[in-house]
Amino acid sequence: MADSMKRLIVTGMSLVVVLGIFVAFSNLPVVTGCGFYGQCGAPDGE
Amino acid sequence: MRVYSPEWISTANQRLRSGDSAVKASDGLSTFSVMWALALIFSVISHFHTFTFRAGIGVGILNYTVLIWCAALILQPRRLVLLVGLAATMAAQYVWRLPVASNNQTIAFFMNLAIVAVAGVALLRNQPIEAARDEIYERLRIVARLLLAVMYFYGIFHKINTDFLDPNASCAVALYTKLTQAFGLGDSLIGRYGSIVSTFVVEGIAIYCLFKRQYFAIGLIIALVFHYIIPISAYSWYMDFSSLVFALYALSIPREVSIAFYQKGAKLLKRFPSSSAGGMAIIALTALLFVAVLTATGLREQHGDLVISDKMMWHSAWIMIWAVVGGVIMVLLTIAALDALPYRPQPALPIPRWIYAFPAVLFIACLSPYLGLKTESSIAMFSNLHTEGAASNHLLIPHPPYVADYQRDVAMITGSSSPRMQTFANRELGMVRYHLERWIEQNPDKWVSFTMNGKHFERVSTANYAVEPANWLERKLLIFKPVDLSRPKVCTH
Repeated sequence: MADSMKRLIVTGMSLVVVLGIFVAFSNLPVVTGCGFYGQCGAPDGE
Repeated sequence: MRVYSPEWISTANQRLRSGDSAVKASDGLSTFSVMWALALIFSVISHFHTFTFRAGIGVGILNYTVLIWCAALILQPRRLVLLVGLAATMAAQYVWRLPVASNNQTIAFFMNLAIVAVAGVALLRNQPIEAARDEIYERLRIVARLLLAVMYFYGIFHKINTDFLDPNASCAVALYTKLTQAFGLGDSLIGRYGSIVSTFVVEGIAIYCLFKRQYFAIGLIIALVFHYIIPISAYSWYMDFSSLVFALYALSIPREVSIAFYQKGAKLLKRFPSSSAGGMAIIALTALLFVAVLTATGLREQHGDLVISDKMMWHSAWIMIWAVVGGVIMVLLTIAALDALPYRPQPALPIPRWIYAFPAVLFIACLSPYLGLKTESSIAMFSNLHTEGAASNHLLIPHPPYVADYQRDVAMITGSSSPRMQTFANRELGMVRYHLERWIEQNPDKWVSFTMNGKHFERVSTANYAVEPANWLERKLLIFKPVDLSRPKVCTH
């Protein structure tokens, strides 16, 4: 496999991680108020 | 009989020696040890209530002990005795806790059992564990690969049902919506259908590449992305499952890739001042936890109008950790895999038949929903599958061939003195008869009203209802999901 292709794939994976961190923050239960299975407004059973 | 000749091991090691004569094929076992410890950490910490000893002092102490054990394994990944001891402990606690609903813990149990058995056989033949690393490593690699194959097979097969294919109910769509709503794409019909189709495509490619080894990198990279993004949907915990898959991949990938991945990780960690890569890994994980908990606490206070439980805060903190740790592992594994291309698989090796028993038993156990046995712990999580009441939404098996009647009778709950059971009534959920009778047995001071087979039962308790006793094996092996007869079936575990 060409080095340029390898670099492209690794760059793509790194981009996935950056996007992943962004999406993770927007989905945090402390931000959305939603627990498991998208249940919002009620605390999870503990 | 030695399965791996000294010549074969020597050849395998020769392939790995690119200037470093200390590298051995079985060093991949150290890579797996670190990844297995991480996977067990992500699994153990998912039980939030056990850390506050609400589930009992014994369970709490056990979980803290496992965490310390995992840390020791990360610090000394070459100490096979630590891996085997941890595997034995986890396998024993799984058996003790049976029936267990968790699918990832069930897969982990079979892997732990294989670790103990393979190392045990080496010991029985009077081979010191450390000296038998090569053989243990090669045998466990097969188990890991086949466990992944079983997982992906059922990941596809259970999902061939009408509700998973319905964009208004599919679990794929539930996750897709959470992952894309930040970009305003959550309602896209193309995206919704795309998420359903891509689930089959990704898992199909993953299983194909597990066996077509020359394409291992394609399957690995696609699977890594798939399992990395699922936990950040926050739809459920998921990190335990994804880290388990990462660990099984670390064991099943070519030896040179596994070693290169370990070396890249160690090199990254050694950039920071610490006596060892393992030590730095522990420090980094602890620091991440500290920052994540602080951040989650701050965010919780900012959103004071939201109802946020301690468990939701704990979940938030670990999602942040996963986003970073899982991401770094994914990128390093990708680099290591790409560096090994083009890959030429080595000829298949002779493996004793009993090694195949571990994935084979898991495969058979996961047929349970169609046979009228357990519906949990069958790798049917988030598949929208239902098989209760002698009818299924599975497109290929609309009438499940029950060999047992545990799922035949479904009781729809209409009311209860138990708040937890009352939520079943509120959500119009049911239970299979066996499940309901165990609940009645275990809650002698509570009552439940339900409708079953067209007959209504009012305020039933042990005082006025004769439950059919369950034997020890039934109590240990049978576990059922709540029954949702509404269509389309909403996505749950």
